[in-house]
Amino acid sequence: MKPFIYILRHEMKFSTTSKSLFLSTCFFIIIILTASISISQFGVKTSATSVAILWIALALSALLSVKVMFQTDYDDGTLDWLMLSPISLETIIMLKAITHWLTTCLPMMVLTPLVCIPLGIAFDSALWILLVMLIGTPAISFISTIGAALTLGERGSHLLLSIFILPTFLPILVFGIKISMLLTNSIYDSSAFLILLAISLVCIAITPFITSMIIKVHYT
Amino acid sequence: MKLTGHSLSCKRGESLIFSEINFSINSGSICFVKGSNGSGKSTLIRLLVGFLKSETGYITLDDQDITNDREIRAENFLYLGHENVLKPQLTVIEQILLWQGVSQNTYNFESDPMKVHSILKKKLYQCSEGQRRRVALTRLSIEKKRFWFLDEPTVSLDDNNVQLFKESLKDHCDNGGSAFIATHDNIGINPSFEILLSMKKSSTEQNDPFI
Repeated sequence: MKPFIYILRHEMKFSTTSKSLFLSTCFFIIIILTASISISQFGVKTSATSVAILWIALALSALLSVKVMFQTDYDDGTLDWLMLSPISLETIIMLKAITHWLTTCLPMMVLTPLVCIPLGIAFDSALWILLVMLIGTPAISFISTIGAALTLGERGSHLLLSIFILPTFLPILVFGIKISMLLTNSIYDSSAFLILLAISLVCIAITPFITSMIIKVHYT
Repeated sequence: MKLTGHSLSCKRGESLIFSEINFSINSGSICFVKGSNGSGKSTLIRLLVGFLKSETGYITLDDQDITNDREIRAENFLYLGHENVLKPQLTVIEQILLWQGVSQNTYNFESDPMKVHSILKKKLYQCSEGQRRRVALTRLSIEKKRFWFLDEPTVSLDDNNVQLFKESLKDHCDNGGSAFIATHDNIGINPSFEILLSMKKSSTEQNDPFI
């Protein structure tokens, strides 16, 4: 087996056994439940608000587990070891983002058809939203690595991280919410869909290099 | 293989930590980095492995400048600092398997240089500090790199285990490897080279008439 598969396996095992997986999915459900219940009192639950709640809940919950991406490795010296390993830093960052996506975004997406019930979104639209999320969420995981690298070594910087990472999710949220909302009204906007796909692909392509540069600067 | 440092120096903020460090080390030899607390031993070690940038000078390996060459360093250098590079949730054997997988080498469980066979099934958070250090030192025998950069490797080891470490170090040097060790005591080894760092007053302190 290639060395990077060992790292991926280790990262996966590490993330699935840690509490953050459970906590972020719980947080996701809680946000949606509180938001949908508090809105339903006014009887003005539209597809636009429901979809927006869904996406914002997803972005906020995804942020919860970002901090641990590099921090524990930095604290126990593993990052030093990885810097001198045969695997390049960019690959490691990519593996971390993939792990984050698999252990944070994917579980939430699996729950999406379920949480669409309290939000009042029909099941077949929920499946379409799931597809949009599949396109948009990799960008969230990859952008998050930048935030995790920037706040490296800074204790208790969860809040700081959220403050400058959340605004960078805006393009993904804007397009994600727009496409999802149109889909619930059975309108297919292919150009917005392609833009979201482009954002995601660009993020996957360039963020590992940016993040590795940040980490190298942090070291020297 | 010959590793040479040419007039290396390091600055942290305004203060100069050390300057004009020159050395040359051949295969099979050990270099000690000595000095009092805060004199920059750890900084020098981290600078040599490339985690810090040298203000002046450069490092060569067989006359090839490797100051900015991550790949050559990754191939030849091993760094073990104050942290043990262990994941507390893993068992000792899982940790060793991870190192084996990433370096594509195997640990010799037959000879078992650091005598970890008795604690293989133990979780790392259950191990004592000395046992953790021993596990951390098994990585030296797994990765099979030429240059070891160790920062206080014998901290929290008892006499028997220091002896084990010395044997694996001797083995490493007999096989053409070299080691840089930042240490306070000689641990009974005769180094072939020694870098002595002395405390430096920061440049601002020197220029400041009030200090």
